[in-house]
Amino acid sequence: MRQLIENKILPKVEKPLRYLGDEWNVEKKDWDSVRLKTVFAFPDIYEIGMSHLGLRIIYHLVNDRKDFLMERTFAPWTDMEEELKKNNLPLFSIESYKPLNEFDVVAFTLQYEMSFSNILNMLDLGRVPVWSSERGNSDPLVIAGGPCAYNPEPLADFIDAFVIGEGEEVTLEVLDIIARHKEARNGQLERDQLLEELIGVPGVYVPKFYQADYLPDGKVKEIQTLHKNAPKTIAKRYMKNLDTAFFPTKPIVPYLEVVHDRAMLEVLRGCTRGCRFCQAGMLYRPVRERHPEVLKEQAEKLIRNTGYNEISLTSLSSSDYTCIEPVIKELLDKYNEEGIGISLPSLRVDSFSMGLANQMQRVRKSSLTFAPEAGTQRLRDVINKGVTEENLMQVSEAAFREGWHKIKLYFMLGLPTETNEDLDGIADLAYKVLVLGDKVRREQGVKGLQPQVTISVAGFVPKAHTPFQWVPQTRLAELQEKQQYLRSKIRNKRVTFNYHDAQLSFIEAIFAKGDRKLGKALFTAWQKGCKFDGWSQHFKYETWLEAIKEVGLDPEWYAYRELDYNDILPWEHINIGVKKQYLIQEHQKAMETAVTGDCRFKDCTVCGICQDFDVALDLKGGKLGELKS
Amino acid sequence: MNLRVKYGKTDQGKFISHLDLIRAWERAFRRAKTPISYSQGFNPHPKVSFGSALAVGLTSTGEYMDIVLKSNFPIQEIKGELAKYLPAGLIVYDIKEIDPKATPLMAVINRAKYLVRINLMQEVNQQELDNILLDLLKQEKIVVLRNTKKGLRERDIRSGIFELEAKVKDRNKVELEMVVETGSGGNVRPEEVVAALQEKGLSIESETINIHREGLYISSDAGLNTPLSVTA
Repeated sequence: MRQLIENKILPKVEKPLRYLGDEWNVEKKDWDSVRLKTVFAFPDIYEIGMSHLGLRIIYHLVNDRKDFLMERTFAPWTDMEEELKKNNLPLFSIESYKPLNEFDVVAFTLQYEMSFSNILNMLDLGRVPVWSSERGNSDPLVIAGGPCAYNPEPLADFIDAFVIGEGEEVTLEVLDIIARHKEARNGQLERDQLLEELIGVPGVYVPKFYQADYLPDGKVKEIQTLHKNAPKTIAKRYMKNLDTAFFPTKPIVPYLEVVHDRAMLEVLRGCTRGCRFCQAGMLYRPVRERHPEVLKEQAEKLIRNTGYNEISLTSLSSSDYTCIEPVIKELLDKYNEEGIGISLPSLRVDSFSMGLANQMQRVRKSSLTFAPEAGTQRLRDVINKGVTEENLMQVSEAAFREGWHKIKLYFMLGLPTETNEDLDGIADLAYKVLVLGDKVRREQGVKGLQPQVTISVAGFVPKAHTPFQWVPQTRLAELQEKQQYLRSKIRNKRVTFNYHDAQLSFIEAIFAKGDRKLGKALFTAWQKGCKFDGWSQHFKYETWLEAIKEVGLDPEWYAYRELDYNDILPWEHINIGVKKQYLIQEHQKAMETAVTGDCRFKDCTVCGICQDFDVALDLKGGKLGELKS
Repeated sequence: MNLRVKYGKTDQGKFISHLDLIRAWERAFRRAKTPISYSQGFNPHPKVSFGSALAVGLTSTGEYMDIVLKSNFPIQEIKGELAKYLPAGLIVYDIKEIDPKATPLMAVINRAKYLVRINLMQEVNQQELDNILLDLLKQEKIVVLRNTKKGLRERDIRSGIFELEAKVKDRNKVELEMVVETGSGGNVRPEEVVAALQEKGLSIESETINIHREGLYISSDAGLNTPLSVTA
């Protein structure tokens, strides 16, 4: 099969390296001698999948076990899919070119609701029955994890078992059980029995042992367990200590240029800023930092093992890392001479200090991105984005002085309580930053490039497990009006205005807060040709609407339904550690325009994670407020 | 210290584009701790210059690049370390020191030798094959269409074909060997020669053409020299 693909198919497709799997540090194992064969399935193209740190962690974690094998497969681009079909070939893993249905386990990562259609497509191309109920003992077990697994219901009909939470420990526990199960049965899987065994692993959700009943209005009446051992709620898994957690220091180095083409160093996990729209901020609590010594050691190994010329300090908010300045300084001092740069992907304007700006002087200058998220202080308080206009201006001034000339600002549109005044605020902020840039440029003697500002605006999508989970999405027509209104306010060649497709945000909202009934809609949409929905050239809005309606569901109900605090939510049985009562309280405070502090600066907010779970805030540089006053 | 490296792209490496290749070498040098010299500035680049870029899909056993080292270093050690740190698809054959003032590879390389394996839809014998070749080569012009920045343009490639031979290997399998012009003076692509033969009546299965670059050369009165031999 490999020869046929390499000789006949790859020469015809765009970027054949997407399907080759011969990269530096790739793991190749003897197919016949391992105990368990698994494939990591990323439901988007190679360049996106290989930029994802989670894939790299799980891939190397599993392959570090001599007796397990994990290969990779990505969504084939449409040209490749056509070639596979034309030649009657199945979707295969890129390491050993084995069809997906020859693996024991196919493991998907759920990063984004709009990649769900690709999951169905990949299973089908890999000759694995798409419906979980139609899989037999000779089919692989299909498992899934990642942020969208926290509301698993829209995929419950297609995934045999979900893994909720951080994967470093639980993945191996799950694979061990499957391997032992196979060995006890002469290499055979007995699907029903295996799924029963998996219920016993904390953090594993097996949807077939749960049933959701609905009220006449479509809301959830009850979520019942159908097996005596199935836990009522599934609590997420988490790492207590990031210093001892597995981290890959010999990652694959792609030939092809991928989106994040650099060594990734994870400086911390979690974020307690408490932005009320942010799902990641609620899911990955508490904040756990890595020790600078561990990071330095990992950086050294990463550089030597990969040959990358850039290290990215990644996390939800890297400028919040309590040791960020000394770590950057030491890394730059050590590696600058070898031509190795440092990059910081996620910056907050309130923690981007002058000291950091000074360090950044030695960091590569591309554009600098900040996310005020809303245009006025009032609305920023509603969403609890504790960033002020003053913060933004200070940071922008520092950045312009240090030589940056492009500043990107991210905003959301359609936030709860938003009015035109808030939209005016977005345009005002952009102009103020530009005027400031011009002022700095004049002071520096009108040298260099003219300042530029880009505002990027995304439609707000309410997400499960956030304080805004009860809130309806702003109606599509209104969202589009808001876009037009904002567009009309921006009339300057040096201010670029980008906005996301509001129709895509609408479909995303349906699935983000979806229930199990949506599985049929997803299946129908996929059958009608939906795939690569996140790619504007492939997104078929009308087809999605048609599919949802065809199975008797109302798309508007899903996106616009107002949920009550007393309602049972479709994801009620998934326990993220943050209490529902806390989310309610945060929602109420939002409506009162009251802010909540970050437990790293101030008092514990009693969100529930450190109270109910065996984990605690872990800051290496002491309390944040003490360091950065 | 300036070095000239002869390397190859194997079957696994044939899909690596030139830009991907540059990055792959840069990373391999860093892993192998090759004491390569970097340009100054915010985005330092390793001082590496390549011969002629190889098209995607072709294998090669004769590619060249020049590299500049920060200081003198034993060549055998560099070669040994590089071999350990090269990704699948790339192979180092030889490294030689060159004069820092040597003419850049790009400016001296002017010939490329290709081996092309093709399958025919109808068998031919050696005599018939030779006749088709002769028929093509006796033409004064061989005009091909090329996509250029200025749109489709006609080009004559006859004067750029210096050697062309063909052998029937087995029934419908034919092997072509050709020496053609390459470099700044002009470029003849092996697939253009194959297409011209097809037009002359050779029934080539276009899906199974396999092109290999045997090497890059510098032509002189004495014949073809390799870029390594002129440095010795």
